[in-house]
Amino acid sequence: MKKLLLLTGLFGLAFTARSFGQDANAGAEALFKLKCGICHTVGKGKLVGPDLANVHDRHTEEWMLKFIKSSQTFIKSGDSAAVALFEQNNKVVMPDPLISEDEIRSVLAYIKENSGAVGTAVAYTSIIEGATDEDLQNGRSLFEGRKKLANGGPSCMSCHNGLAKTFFNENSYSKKDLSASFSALGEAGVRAILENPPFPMMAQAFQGKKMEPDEVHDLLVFLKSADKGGAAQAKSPLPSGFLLYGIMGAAALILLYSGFWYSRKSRSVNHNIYKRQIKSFN
Amino acid sequence: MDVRSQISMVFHLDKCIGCHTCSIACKNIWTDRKGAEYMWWNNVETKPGTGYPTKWEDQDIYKGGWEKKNGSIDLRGTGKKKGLLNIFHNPNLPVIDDYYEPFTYKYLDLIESPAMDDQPTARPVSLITGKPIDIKMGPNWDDDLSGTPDYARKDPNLQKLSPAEQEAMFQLERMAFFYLPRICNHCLNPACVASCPSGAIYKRGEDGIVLINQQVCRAWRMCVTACPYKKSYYNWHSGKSEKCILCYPRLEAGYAPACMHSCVGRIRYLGVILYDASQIENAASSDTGNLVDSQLNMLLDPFDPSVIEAAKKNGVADSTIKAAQYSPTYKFVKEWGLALPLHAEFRTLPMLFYVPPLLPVMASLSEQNTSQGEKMDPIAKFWNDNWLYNTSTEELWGTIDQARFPLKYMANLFAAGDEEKVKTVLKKLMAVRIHRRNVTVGDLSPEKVEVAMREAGMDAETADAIYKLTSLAKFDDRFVIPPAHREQAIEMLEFTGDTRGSTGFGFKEKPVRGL
Repeated sequence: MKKLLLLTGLFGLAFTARSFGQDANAGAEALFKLKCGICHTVGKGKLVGPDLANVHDRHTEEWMLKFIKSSQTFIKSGDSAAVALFEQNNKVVMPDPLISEDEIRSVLAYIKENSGAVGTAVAYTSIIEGATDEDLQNGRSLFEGRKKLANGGPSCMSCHNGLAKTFFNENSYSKKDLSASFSALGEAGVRAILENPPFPMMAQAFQGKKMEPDEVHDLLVFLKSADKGGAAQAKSPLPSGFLLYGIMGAAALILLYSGFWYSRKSRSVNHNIYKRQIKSFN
Repeated sequence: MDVRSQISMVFHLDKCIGCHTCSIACKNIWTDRKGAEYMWWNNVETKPGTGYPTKWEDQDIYKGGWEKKNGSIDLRGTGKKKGLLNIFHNPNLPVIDDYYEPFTYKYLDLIESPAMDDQPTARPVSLITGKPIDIKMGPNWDDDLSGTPDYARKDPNLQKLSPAEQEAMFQLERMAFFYLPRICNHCLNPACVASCPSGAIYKRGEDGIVLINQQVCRAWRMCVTACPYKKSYYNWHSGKSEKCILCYPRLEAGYAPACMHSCVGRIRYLGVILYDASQIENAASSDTGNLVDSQLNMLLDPFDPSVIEAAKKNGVADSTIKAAQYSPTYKFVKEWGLALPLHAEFRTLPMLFYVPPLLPVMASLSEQNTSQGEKMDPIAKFWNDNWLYNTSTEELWGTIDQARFPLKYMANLFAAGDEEKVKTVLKKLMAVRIHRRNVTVGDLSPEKVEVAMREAGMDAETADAIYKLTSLAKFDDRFVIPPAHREQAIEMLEFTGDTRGSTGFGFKEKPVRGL
């Protein structure tokens, strides 16, 4: 855990350092595109997350700061507005951008600035219509690492798998699992992530090794077919009530065996003599 | 007739002084090892008493030995079916507290202690954990405690006695005790061998010593449960079971076992007895009243030509047959009928026999002469040897008939409950004393001596022989050890002809001339 924190901190530093010294305005725009633009628009409709136009009318700046900084922490703290927002957006987790408070403020200022020019919602046009089976197989090969990514990025399989549900918490959403990614994020969201990874670990892994457009295309085809509304998502391998039945079974076995050994010699013949004796040690 | 030879033992209990030298000799040689600290392959118990491990004779607790069922015998607590059902959890094992937690003292504290106001003490430490402990029990904890409620009165042999008889045993100044040294009985029908799931225990063909193969033992500990004498012990360090090996390395070299060699009272005798192995099953499954007799009937006369012939046919060495003819144990057990097996009702046909003690028996319950006491203060004690230990021979068997030590108790130990058998033996022992008193003191009428000898079924010659082997026997009279014939054992395993001529006189290099 400590290691993870350290790692996250380092990434944070890296991002912060890079953004210093840039022209404030241009910097804010770049930052928005890098960190937010994948899922959000300003006045161009909902992508993965909500349209951020006039977001200042909906929330206070302080609230937004908290949410952006670490949305999951904020949601878990029980803020009703944050929880509602999370629910509204299909419980898609917004990754922490790992940028400083000042940078967040600058991005918010940028959003406020651009909120006036409400454009028409751009309808996202799918790029995977009419994909062939060959594309699908190619996507699968890329995912599984049979085929290397052209620019040397790691294959998806090296971090992701299909097992999401853990034994103790069936509702936990594992970022490792991609089988439900399509229904959660939509093509636009997944594509944005593939083209410009926002998650620290993934960003680091693909730094300078961006996927080619045809690779993104094939992977999208594959992920879509793998999804089908999450139908292929692996269920917990253990039947429900496994723990309960286990405990009940163990109890039954103990009872059975105590029956077998009911007449066993359970303690020393000298027990009563020893019990009476004065003890100086325990 | 399937004649085999067995090394058997006789312990003469009248001679045992309870000094535990045998136990120490055995401990020093064999069980002074890690994991074996609590074991006493040889131990000496005070009877009445609970023994070691506590109440070992009570098979309702430990489920040892055989029990008769539908005309045949079956292991009480183990065996194929019960053993398999309980193989991962043997339910009737004695625990360490049934033996005792072995301990030593921190003697070094006495030496290394700085000068202080108080004397230093050596605290007891456990030999298992190495930590200081309270000593709760020892291997002879009930030593000499003949009347205590926790030990003597809980003797399992008392269960069959009436409350009045029990009470009589424990009356102050009337109570008595004797010592019972115990080693492995090297039984003819050993329950430990029958119970072992690994087949690690075997009875040696040449001398009947029962051994546990340490390579084969898999620590199921069925033998610990099965042995009714609790003479198989589990070594917690090596993870193997161990038992008395009758000092077979010493026997093979012609020495007596360490316990017997060191015996101060010279109570122990060892010798070969030939027996008919085809009768084992019948003898072990005979009725309780018949057990001792049928066991003694298995033992064969080593002078009988047919027995000698059958023994030779079975591969018993001539030297072994000769040893059987000189065997002191054969004399005690068969010829004179003085020694009886311990707890024949366990049906293992033990080959360690005991001459029951006459001493606690020989004291009558005659009227007390209180004339001396009347003159004194009621609280004062007076001593009158006449009723405590009556050596008079006014009445021949009076002391035995009205023994202060109930014969029933002796019978429970040595004759599967048959009082008559014990009585016969005691009468014989008494007759020997009367005869010798007549010879050495000469204060008895010849008629009386004759009656005593006749009633005991004894002649002067036999009485003298018994007296000699009991009192004057030298080392070679007490221990008649047959030669081991290791060469025969080796020849069974390997061909020795190939080495003939290959050693000894000869040439390493061929000489130039000759040959």
